[in-house]
Amino acid sequence: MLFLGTKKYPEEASFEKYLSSNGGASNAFTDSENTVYYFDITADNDKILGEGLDRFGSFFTGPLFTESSTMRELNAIESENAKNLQSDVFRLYQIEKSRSNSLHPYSKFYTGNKATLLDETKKKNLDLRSELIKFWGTYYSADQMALAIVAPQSISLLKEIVTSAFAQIPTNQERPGIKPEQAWAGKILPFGPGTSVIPAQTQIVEVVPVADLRQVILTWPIVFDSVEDRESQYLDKPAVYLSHLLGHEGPESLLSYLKKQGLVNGLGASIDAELSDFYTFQVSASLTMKGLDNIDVIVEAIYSYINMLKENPTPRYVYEEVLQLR
Amino acid sequence: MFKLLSFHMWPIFLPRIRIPRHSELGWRFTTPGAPGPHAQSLAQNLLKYPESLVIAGPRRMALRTSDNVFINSEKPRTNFASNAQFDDTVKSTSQLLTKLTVGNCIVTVVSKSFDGKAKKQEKWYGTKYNVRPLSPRTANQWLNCKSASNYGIDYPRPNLFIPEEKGLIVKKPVRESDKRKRPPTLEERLKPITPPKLIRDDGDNGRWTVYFKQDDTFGQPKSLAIFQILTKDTFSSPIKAVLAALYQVSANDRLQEYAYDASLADLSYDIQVLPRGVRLTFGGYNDKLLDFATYISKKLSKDVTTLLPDSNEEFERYRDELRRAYAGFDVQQPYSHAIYYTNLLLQPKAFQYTNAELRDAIEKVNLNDLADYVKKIWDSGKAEALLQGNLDQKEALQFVEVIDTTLAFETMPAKDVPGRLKPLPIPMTSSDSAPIRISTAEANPSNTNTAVQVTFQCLDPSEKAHVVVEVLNYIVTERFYEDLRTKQQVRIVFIEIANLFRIVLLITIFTIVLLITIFFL
Repeated sequence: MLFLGTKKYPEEASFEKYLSSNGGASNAFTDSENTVYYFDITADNDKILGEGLDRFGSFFTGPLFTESSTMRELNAIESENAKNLQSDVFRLYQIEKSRSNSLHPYSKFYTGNKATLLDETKKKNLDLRSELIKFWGTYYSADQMALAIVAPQSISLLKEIVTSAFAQIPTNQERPGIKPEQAWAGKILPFGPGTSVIPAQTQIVEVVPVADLRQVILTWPIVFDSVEDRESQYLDKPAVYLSHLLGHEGPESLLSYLKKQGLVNGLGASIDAELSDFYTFQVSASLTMKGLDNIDVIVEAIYSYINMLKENPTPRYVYEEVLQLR
Repeated sequence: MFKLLSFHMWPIFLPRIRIPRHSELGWRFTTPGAPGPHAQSLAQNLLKYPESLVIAGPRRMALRTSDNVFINSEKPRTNFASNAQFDDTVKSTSQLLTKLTVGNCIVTVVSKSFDGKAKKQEKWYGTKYNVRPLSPRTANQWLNCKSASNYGIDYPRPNLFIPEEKGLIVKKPVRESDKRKRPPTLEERLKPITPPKLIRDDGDNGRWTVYFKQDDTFGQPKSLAIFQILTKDTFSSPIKAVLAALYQVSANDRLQEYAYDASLADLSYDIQVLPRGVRLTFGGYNDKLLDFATYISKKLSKDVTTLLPDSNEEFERYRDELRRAYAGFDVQQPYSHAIYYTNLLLQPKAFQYTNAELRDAIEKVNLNDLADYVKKIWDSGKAEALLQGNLDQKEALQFVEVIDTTLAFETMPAKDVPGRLKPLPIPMTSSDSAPIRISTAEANPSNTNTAVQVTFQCLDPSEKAHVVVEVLNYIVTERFYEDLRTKQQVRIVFIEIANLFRIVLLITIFTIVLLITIFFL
């Protein structure tokens, strides 16, 4: 919606027009906790870059959110959702989210649609546009934002342009310095027995995919014990060493064994969801027909590998190689 | 002055087009990327990492000393800063392992076989699922699992493909004086890049045509080598096309254990059986590239039987993989189907077969057919090669010699060499009749979206016509963006430039996808 006109540049398509006339383009995406807006533009003219940044900056100082464009934007959201309905990626992700605590924001519908935005607000006697403006006023606050610019201009010139384009972004004085996640991180446990729409630990969920997929997915929620724990996960990256080992594809690896038994076609290990208070560590295997009939055997082998990691010290060269190859 | 800015973090300025390189091997020699994705990643990192680690934070390992001081030196590392730092890392990894337990695990199994049995339905996507408790017997089996050594599982062996420091020499470093101090002007950008030069041409009836270009831009100790053996009959029927696919699946599976460590050390290979022959691509650090390429080439062309399934059971595993991949066509998005049907119209028969033909053919082949097919595809041909990167002309020619000796194929006469792909012309229609139109129902009845693709074709091969087509595409794109995205609020799915001659624009209109393809022949 920020792309659809601002007080300073009210014409709806003017930003896109400006960018396409100057070899650029823009877009935005929403992650679990952040929304990222970005654009690129030809860099060989300081004035063009300056105006591009000024137009971009006006998104955050004076968006119009007109009634007409708000209603029309719902169509775009509905269209995006319609495109995702038959996608196994979205379907499986939503199943996983539904296995978290219903009170935790991770459990929510990932993208939203016309029903959640329009029908639900109507039911609650809320005005969608007013809610939109309220949301913008609460969270689009300078103290919650970060800006990165990659450009060939001198630092001093860039600072000048940025000050002019972004210094007017307001800070929400009602909650200065309060991060949105402070409302729930560390206060609402993301997973727990009896808290989710679809049960999580100690329950096996069998899912029918759209495509002919065969997979077993093991997901461990790693809830941060403390701020120090979270910092350690970010800086020491223990999950990277474990995913390197569990997902190794060389001789004597877990994958090598499972393939020799004709149980799997592939295996991977990685961090999946990542939020302020937890991340999930995931091992997933694509199964053969034989593997589908032997899930328990495959999972047992995965735990055998985990036990090996727990009981036999990992050779130092493994750590050093990961450090070097990362 | 800048205290006026009250952002959570200060803006970060990186005043270079070239993305900075840092430290360890993985990104010490990273090819400079586009500034757009880099800026997106930096903005997010600013909210997650301390300012001094905003670039290194998500990429490098062991970023603090045992005294909790951040490490932001750009010096390459091959080891931990100290034993204490190593011990901290081991401790941190052990702590994470304590959370990978049977009791903390969430298990999901995905399979079509649950259809009919799964009675529950997820709220937002309508996904059918079933929940069953983990039985005490199974939990016990996982809790008391066998020792990994019973399965022959062990830690990875040391990776022999990691390049040695002495092998990371750049032959033609980019001189400081050559580095740009300012962005290129429009005139400079319009100046064509020097193309690779022909360094070996054995003639029409000869063996090799070799092109080469030494890197003078990136200054990295890496090279890329592409070898294509042009040969007929690799793709001359749907049966051969599925045998080609089975060979690739089987060969990649068999080479996986050997090539995995290499891939970690950024050495890559790729084998593709194409309508005009077989293509081998190798890339990565020069230090061990030739040895790696020689080994893979030998396995593929001479030790062919070692890369084939050992048994019918294994063959069936590969067949199952391909069968499901072909069946996946039915549930692709409508815009993918629209692109697919357009391609069928524009590509000659021997270059592409229909999904239905391939699905039929995959059921008709067996292990013996595969063995016979694979023995023949390396027999004879006319070879082309392109080598680029951190090697000189002499080394490039030596590289070709080694691969030539390894592949040892018979030279094919020019008359037998398959011709290049030429897209078919769209049938002309008179101005008062409707253009050629293909309409088809969606294979997946649950998908309520619709796609429309409009293709414009220009038969004039001149550069001027090419530019006109590019301009036309720009005008059409602009118009559609203005009308569809801004006024009707439709979502643009993506804009793709598949190659110089083809431009595809996809636009979602509520549940309709419109594709405009401009072909330039």
